Order: sequence, then structure tokens, then C-alpha cells
Amino acid sequence: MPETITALSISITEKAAKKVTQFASKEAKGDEYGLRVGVKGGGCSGLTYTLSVESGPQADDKIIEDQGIRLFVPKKSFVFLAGTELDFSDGLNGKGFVFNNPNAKSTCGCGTSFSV
Amino acid sequence: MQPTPLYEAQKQLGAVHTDIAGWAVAATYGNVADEYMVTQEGVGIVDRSHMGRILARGSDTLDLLNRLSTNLVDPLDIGKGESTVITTGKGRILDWITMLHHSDDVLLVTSPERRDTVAEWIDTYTFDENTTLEDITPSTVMLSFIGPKAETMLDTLLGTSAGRLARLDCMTVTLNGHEVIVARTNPGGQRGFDIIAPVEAAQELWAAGLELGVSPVGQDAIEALRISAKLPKWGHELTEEHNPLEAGLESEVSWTKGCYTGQEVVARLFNYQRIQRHMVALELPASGAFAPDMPLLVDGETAGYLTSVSPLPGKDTVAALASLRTAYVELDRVLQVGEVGGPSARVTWVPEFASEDATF
Repeated sequence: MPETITALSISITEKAAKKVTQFASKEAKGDEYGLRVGVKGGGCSGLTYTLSVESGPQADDKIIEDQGIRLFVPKKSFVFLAGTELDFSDGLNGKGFVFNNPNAKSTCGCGTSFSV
Repeated sequence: MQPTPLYEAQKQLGAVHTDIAGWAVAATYGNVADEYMVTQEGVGIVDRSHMGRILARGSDTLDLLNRLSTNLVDPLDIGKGESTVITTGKGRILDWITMLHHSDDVLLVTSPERRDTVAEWIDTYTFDENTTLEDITPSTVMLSFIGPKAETMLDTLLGTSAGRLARLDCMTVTLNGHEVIVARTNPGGQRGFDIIAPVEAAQELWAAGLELGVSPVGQDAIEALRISAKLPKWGHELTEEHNPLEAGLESEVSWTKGCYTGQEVVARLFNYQRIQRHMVALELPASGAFAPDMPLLVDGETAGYLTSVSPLPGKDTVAALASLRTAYVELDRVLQVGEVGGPSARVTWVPEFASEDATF
């Protein structure tokens, strides 16, 4: 069963939340949607982030609510993401979604990959 | 030492066994020079069951391995294989493996000492992927048929045309009711095939090979082949202290496939010419006593060290591989082995990308 977490372990900024809402309505994900935030192996430093708007959580996902957005976090990814703030950066130097992850000891040049 | 299922059969043929990663591996059947010649002129059978064999199942296996290693391994059609280096985030070598996409599953052949490390590494980096691993080393054997006549012999043995397989091509064949994997892996850099079979088929396969006139060949002869072919090996040229470029494995690195773990470091080392040392081949006099880790000197300065040494059957020289600091990497350079005034070694081969003519 998905586990709902009340204490904020992963947070999302207002700006990022707004973007997620826009994507969700564009993709017509329904009312139960959430942002699936995880990591996967690869990228120059060993781990890369994964992001997708999903219509519901998967079994064993942790569920975190912040800024009106439900974040679905796969259990194995959670250890690497605890304490992360998800932001959105736009403008000329914008990078899109940005992970401010206190667990990341090093990141690669393009910033999409990290190691712990 | 753990015996392979063919230990007793090898003993009966006079095998002397040696310890490789805890396995009792046939070093020789009495005459290394003869065994070496078999691989040059006929076909030999070699028990390489001490190699690690991990079966990877699931639709995300190729994608996952492509993200964790240096070579382009996704896509990889069924029937094809590829070798690739699993690297750490610092671009150091975890292992040099061969992937055989023989069916829906992929067989990963690892160095003998590294099968647990490789499995644990892949497992650590498996998150949502549909990939599961099974260590099939204990339940299978790996027999290699090596030499210019290997194709003909294999076709007779298997009753199918395995000889037309190109390098690293693989297939599954049913042999007397047992499903076996056949792959042209060219062990030791010589023409040849690996057969991976269930333990229950081991004696039968071994006996069938011998009946067809295939001679048993031990690990010492294979080591001479490997060193002559400039192939690096775990614990010698391949360690967690080296990156793939330092170990002569530039050809195992895809420069266009995009990110994999360690990619940034490997690409920087190559593009900015910051490779600190290279694997080279040396020729040593037959009269000396040489061993891995012996220092190599130029004008009293340490230029590198020996990593692998083997007498060359039929020749009065010893072949060696060494790790040399980049400044000393030059064809025909002469180095002293062990100490000032020690025996002379001559550099007989340097990787193409490390030579002076290489254009970066």
C-alpha cells in the first residue's frame, strides 16, 4: 500500500508546483494525479533524476503533499532524495526543474546527474 | 579451492591445477608449449568455468547496462553480443564484461574475481527497471574451443553452423536435450568459441570434444595467448585504480552514445589528453625472472611497472604487459626491469590512440 508521509521530506517550490499543475492539465491526468519523483542509475555521476506526471501512485510509493501537489516517491529512490527541494528555473539561463538535493556530494557538468 | 565439475576428468589427463579466484583451474596438462601450439594450429578445449556468469532477465536490461557502462549496448539484437566496461562515477574500472544477448535474456560474463561485485553494483543502480539478476556460475560450465580449426570442430559437435557466427554473435542450441549457449568470443584473442552449458551436460560435452580430437589446453597457454594479444585482465591491467583508457580499452568506449556512469571523467581525460599512463606490451629476455609489479626504470626514474608476464612458447623471449607513465610511452623504448642495471625490456606495442601520431 502507498504510504502517506505528513512530515515534509521532499518539498516543492510554489513556482515548480505551478508548472506541475500546468503539465497535469495539459496531459489531462485527472484529479488524482501526482508528480512521480525518483532516481535511476546512469548519468555521468552515477544517478540521475526522473520526473513524470502520473494519474496515481504505484504500490509502495511514498506520498508527500506540498504546495497542493502530491509527490509520488518510489521507496528505493527516497533515500537518495530525502531533504530535496524541487524548484523550477526559467528565463534565458533556465534549466527547467532543478533538484536542490542535500545528499548530492558531487554533480556532473550539466547538473542532471549526481552521486551520494 | 572449489573444483569445477570437470576437475576429476582433467586430473585423469594429468592436469596441474592452480587457484584463480578460489577455483581450481587447470594450469597445464604437462606441456604448455604444446598446448599453446594447439591453439595456433588445431583446436584446444579449455575449461573456463571459473569466469563469472550472471543471467539478466527483463525488458530494461540493455537500457540499464547502457547507462552503467562505456560501450553502446542498447540496442543489441538477439544473437548479438558486445563487450563493455562498467565504470564507477570516477571513471574507474569496475569490470570489463561481455554481454551475450542469446535469447530474451542477456548473459553477462564477468572476470572470475568480480562476479559478486558486478551483480551488487547493477542491483544498487536498479530502481524501477524491469531487470533481475541470477548468478548461474554454480549451475553451468563454460568450455572454450580455441584455434583455427574451432569452426569445423564446433559444426561437427553441434550439428549446426556455429562457424558462421561473427565476433560476439551468439545463439542457443539444444545438445542432447540440454540447452547451451554458443558464442564466438575469440578467447585470448585467438579464433574460438565459448559454450555455456548446464553442469549436467559438462562431462558429456568434454568427452565429446576429446573424441573429436580436441586437445585439452590449460590456463598457462591461454595466458600466453592473452598477453600476446594485448588483452587486459582483472587484477593485472584492470583494477579500480585504472580507467579504461589507461588499460588500453579505448575501443570499448562509445564517444557518441551520451551519458553513462563515469562518462564525464573518461571524456575529459581523452579530450584534454590527461591520460596519466598507458598499457603497453614489452619484450623481455628469456633469461630473467620476472613478475607482475616489478618496477620499470628509465635513467633511474620509475617509469612504470610490469602487470602481466608470460614466456612465449617456441620463442626465446618473454612477453609482458606493463603500465607506463604517458611520458615514457614510445615504441622501441628500452627500460630496465627491477633495478638500475637490471635486464632490459623493449616496448613492442603501444595503443594506437596513445602513439605520437594519434590525432585528438
